[in-house]
Amino acid sequence: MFKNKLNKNIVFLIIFLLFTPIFVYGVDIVVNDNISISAIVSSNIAPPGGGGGGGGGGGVNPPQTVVNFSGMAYPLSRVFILQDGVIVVNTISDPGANFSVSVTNLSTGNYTFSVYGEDAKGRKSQSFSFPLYITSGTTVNIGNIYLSPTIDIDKSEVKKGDNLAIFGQSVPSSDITISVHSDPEYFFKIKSNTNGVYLYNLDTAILELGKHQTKSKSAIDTRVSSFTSPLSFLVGNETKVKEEVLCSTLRGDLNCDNHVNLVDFSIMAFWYKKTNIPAKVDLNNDTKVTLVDFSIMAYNWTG
Amino acid sequence: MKKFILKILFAVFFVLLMSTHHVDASFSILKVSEENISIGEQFYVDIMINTENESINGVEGSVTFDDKNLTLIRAEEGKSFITFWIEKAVLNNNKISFAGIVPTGFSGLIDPFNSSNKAPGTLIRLVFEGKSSGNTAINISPLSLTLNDGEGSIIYTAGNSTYIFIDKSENRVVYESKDDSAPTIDAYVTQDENLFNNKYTLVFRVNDKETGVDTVMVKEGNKDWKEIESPYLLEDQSGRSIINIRAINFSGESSTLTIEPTKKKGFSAYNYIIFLVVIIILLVLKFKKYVFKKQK
Repeated sequence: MFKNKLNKNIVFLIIFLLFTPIFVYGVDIVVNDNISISAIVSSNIAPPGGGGGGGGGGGVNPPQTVVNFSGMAYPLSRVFILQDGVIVVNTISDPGANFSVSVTNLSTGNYTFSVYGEDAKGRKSQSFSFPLYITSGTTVNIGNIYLSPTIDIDKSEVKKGDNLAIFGQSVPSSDITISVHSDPEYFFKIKSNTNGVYLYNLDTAILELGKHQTKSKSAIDTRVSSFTSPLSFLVGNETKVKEEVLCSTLRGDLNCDNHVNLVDFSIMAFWYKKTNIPAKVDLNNDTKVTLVDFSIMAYNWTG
Repeated sequence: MKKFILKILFAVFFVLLMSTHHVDASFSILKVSEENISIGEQFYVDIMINTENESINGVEGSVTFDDKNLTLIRAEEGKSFITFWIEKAVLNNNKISFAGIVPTGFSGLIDPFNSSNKAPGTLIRLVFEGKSSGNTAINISPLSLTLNDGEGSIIYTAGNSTYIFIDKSENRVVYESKDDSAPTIDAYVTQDENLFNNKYTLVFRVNDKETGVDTVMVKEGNKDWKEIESPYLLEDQSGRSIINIRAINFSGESSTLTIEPTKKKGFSAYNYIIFLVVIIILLVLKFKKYVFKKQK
């Protein structure tokens, strides 16, 4: 009898311990953990002087402090590197979507570097953030960065049963997963073409009437990107083509210059804890400018 | 058997309940340079945050202390992971309040030589001086942290305290941070309808990797240097002055940035058009006069 009760309790304990981590920690799965970060101490011995002159020879130069970034974005697209929220360098990826870029002239200290890409249509990827402690005279290599795809939709509202085009750009011939966040969540898989462009025509007959969201991620070999920021659309009784907006759609771009940077931050800071604020600076529509509005701006930061 | 099933159901319910509530694992740390000091001795407290790998992008909070025992000398932000201060650390009635953001998020400081571990990040370094003897506390309030999730979801850290013993003896010790580097300056002159009614405004961000920036000054054209904060409404709204901005760190190192006038001196395109129109009118009149004379 006692043995039977003990056995039941042990079974219960095993089931409890087995399932607890899945439920409690399952939401915090880290993607993109194959990014590699390494450092070496730079040599301060200059290469020997050019031959022929006889004199000269090696000299001692101050060691360079360099941070190298490399990874994949979109073919022939622009990749931006931010240092503490300010764009310090940008580069163009090759036709295979590979990019490599360096930041130099750094002193010892804490830095936050961010990387994001922009496709041919000006759509931006999610940002990667690297808060690093840099020691003078070291070379830091950050490799295997795999930027999220870009994403867009052709309609803001779609009549149930009509098609919604979901499109964007990623690495050529990569596997694109499109999520349509409804109840239940649907996943659709397609492949990007040789230019990295993807297009999925979603038949909205499967969706309920109401608001839905879509996002995408990309994978190639063992690399998997993070999801894009979600885009919202409505399934209703009529179809409305997405209007071309005069001002940037980036949340936090207060002066409509297609960037979220120091100027926008300064405009918002001007209204911090003030009353009668302009609607434009109130990003969460709670009639005040608080840390939450700044957080939304920081998330969409482009430098 | 019934009891066993009930237990299982309870466990599942408990686990599901846990999964719907976000566990705020982030916590604050107060790291002091000296716990036992004398009257007149300076020491520092580093306010740090361990985000437990959670990506945060905003911090708001305050630190309190007893001004009978301690004097705040300065707040150094040089080593902070915060890159844009909404509210720089200011002292008001024994309370030091601050708020700032880190664009694109912070989830712990990475040492590139050992990238598997992320270290807590320094929020601010507060330099104090012993004023009178006794045991005294430095308290950090529960900090509001915003998650880097695009919605500004707020989580809180628990409050925290550290205790300092100030001896009766006097010992004048000045704490000075080493800083050989000059601050960096990013600045723009901008106009926006939501910023001083579309008037010319100077916006800037200054950064110093060691002690932090003590003072920022501006000089508009031939006017005197003036201490300012961002955003700053320019006195000269003509847009024709050279603007110099100087940032000085707590070690006295400085750097200056010059912004060229928004409007160039001399003829603008508009002036050229007016000038051209006047010349054409004069030529036409002259030509008419000439034709009229010839006809006579």
